[in-house]
Amino acid sequence: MDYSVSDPTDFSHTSIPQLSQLDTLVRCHICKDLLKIPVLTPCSHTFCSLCIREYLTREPKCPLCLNELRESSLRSEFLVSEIIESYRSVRDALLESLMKNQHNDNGESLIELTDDDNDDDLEIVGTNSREVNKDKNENSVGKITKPSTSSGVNSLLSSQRNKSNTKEQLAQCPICSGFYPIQALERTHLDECLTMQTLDANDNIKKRRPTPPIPQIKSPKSSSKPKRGAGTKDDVSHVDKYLSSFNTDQRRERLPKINFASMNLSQIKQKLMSLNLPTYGSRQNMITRYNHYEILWNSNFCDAIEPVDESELRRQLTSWEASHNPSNSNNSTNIISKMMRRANQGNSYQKLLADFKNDNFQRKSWIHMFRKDFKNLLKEAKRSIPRSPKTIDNVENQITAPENTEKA
Amino acid sequence: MDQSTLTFLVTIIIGFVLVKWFTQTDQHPSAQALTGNQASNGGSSSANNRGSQQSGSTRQRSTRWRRAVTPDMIEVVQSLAPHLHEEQIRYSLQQTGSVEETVERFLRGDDFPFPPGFRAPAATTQQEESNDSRDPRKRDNIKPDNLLSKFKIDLNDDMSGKDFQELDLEERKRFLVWQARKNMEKRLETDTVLQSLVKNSK
Amino acid sequence: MSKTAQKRLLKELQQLMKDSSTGIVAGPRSENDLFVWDCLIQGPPDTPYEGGIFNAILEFPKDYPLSPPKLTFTPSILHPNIYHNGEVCISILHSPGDDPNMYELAEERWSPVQSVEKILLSVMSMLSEPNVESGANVDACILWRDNRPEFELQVKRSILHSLGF
Repeated sequence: MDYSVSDPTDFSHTSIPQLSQLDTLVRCHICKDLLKIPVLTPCSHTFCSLCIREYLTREPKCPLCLNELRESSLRSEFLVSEIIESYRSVRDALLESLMKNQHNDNGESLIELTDDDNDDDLEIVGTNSREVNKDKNENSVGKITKPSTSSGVNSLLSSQRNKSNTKEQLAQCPICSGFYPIQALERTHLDECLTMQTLDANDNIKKRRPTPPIPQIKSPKSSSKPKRGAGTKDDVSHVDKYLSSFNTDQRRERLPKINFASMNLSQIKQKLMSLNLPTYGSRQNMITRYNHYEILWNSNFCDAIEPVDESELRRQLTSWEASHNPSNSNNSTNIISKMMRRANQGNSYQKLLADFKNDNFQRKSWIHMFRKDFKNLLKEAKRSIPRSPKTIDNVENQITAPENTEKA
Repeated sequence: MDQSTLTFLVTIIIGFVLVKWFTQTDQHPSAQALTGNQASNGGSSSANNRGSQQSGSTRQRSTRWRRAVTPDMIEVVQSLAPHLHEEQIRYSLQQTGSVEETVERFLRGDDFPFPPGFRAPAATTQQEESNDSRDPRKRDNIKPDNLLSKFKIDLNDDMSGKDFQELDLEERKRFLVWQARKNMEKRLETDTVLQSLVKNSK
Repeated sequence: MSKTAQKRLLKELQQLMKDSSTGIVAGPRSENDLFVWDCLIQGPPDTPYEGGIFNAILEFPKDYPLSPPKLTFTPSILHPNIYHNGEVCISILHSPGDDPNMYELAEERWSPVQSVEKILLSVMSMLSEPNVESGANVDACILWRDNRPEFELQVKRSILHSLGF
């Protein structure tokens, strides 16, 4: 669970402010969060599967361009999905290191820019001509997208120069633009990079950026291979997931839209029962329950790259229902808890959770069960306090407060 | 003893039937609006004597028999005939009992009457406006309130040195008001229209 | 309480705090309730409202951002598109489905893509360009159309009042 709220402006005070554009682009326009299970509309816009499906139940239009849009025409985007997942996994580290870089730069980059600007360029040409090309590319890209932030581009350039100073042996890979020892680059990395292409590579640069001094400490030769191994360990999962995404035979039939108008109560109940859904509540309750389950189901089995199983969907449904009809929640808690118990027989955690919803919350056993987790959380929290910069701290305090209260 | 249990049981059963009856009418929101009167009639009379309860319920049953009208059905028709009022569609559906029939009527160009006792839509919205919204929407709230006192701003403070981005929410508001006040003071020195306004109000 | 709505509101708040457009301050009234926001809007330059600061309340529905929030000026201001009680009538606050005035363009309607900032910006543009066609305050409409100088005087008088003159 993340308690802080991330948004694109996180990047506007880093050394690469242009990243906030990237961050904006990988967000859903409905929930403003990083896209979860992205789907593509016929009008070429992308939203979270759940967000857009829910919106389409009210308004059969694309929220962005207001073109007509039907749920059946949504298409899943596995590549985008995995790009975002891998981005999500490195975002914090990326942000943190960019903040640090900037702090370092503030002192040094000014001097460098004025004094040995020329020397620097020469040196880069000397070590690796590709890097200069790369710099120029980035420069022009920056200008196209955001003409006003020339200072940002400068700091970007200077930060790269800093790096090239610190590690003379390293060269930039033209494909993934990560820094590698020249030898390793020529022998193995280029090939690997060409075959692995985008995803993996993107991760690598991000993974490596946070720790620019490390390659210096380790000897270049030893660092290259194990580093890659370590880097790919959790990266490849995204690539693999994407590559193997087409031969999953887990796909299931989509749930159809049902015209409840022509059904009577027992027919609806039967329908719900066939899906293992609870049948309490009024007719209207059951209809909304089915409709939301249909959204969950279709988004899960038609769009998700790795679908969860039905019991998880039912759990999501109950929690959705609990949060959406407060009036209904009182008499439904029993059924919810029953359902949860049925799903995971007699699991004490489930019982506790059910009690929690019932307001018979037993503090002690809860504390007992999660003692370890609490300790870890405490540790983490203490560690992160002195690190966070001042400005963000202020905002974060304000922002986390309400959420915490809500959780309590 | 025996009899009291019997009466007890009978009362419970009757109560149960009644409760069930009402919850079922609840599930047809379409039924509520129109039969609100009927239902309450039936309810009150049933409390009094059994005979009228039966007549009330049969009346209800007969109307309900024709009327398996759900919001979904109305929606279907409405999507085809957007300009028709919901009540018109509901009334027609009650009579025909099926979406197809109603749609066919619509396509034939039949007249869609309003249910008896229903005020014309224009009239009702007007009435609503005059009854309900007269109070909230037309209640005059156009009166300047003093922002300086509202945000507790001391005019002798100098906030000009502050960086807007660094301030928290409350401070930003105060800053905005303070800035507006100062700008207005400057404008007052040159703008004669404003000067006259200030004089008049004093 | 809808989690989506809360998360989204938090994000918008954070973004507004970090870089908001000039002349707009908005945030939740209290930390316990994210669904009611207090906003201050600066009157746009070269209009009668120039130099004024206007206080408004934004009320978000539980299913935000699927449904639009409601904006109310407190106190209300004299403007053709603002009701006497301060409720604002602009197209961005209506979803394309409900259609009080047919002639409003669908593109200016509410959709989840809009945001608090966009709402407030379009309110500012509404202040500078009233839409007399879909008037909410009939008296203000007539005054604006027939006796512009008097309209401007009234607006300016209330602005001066609000700034403590």
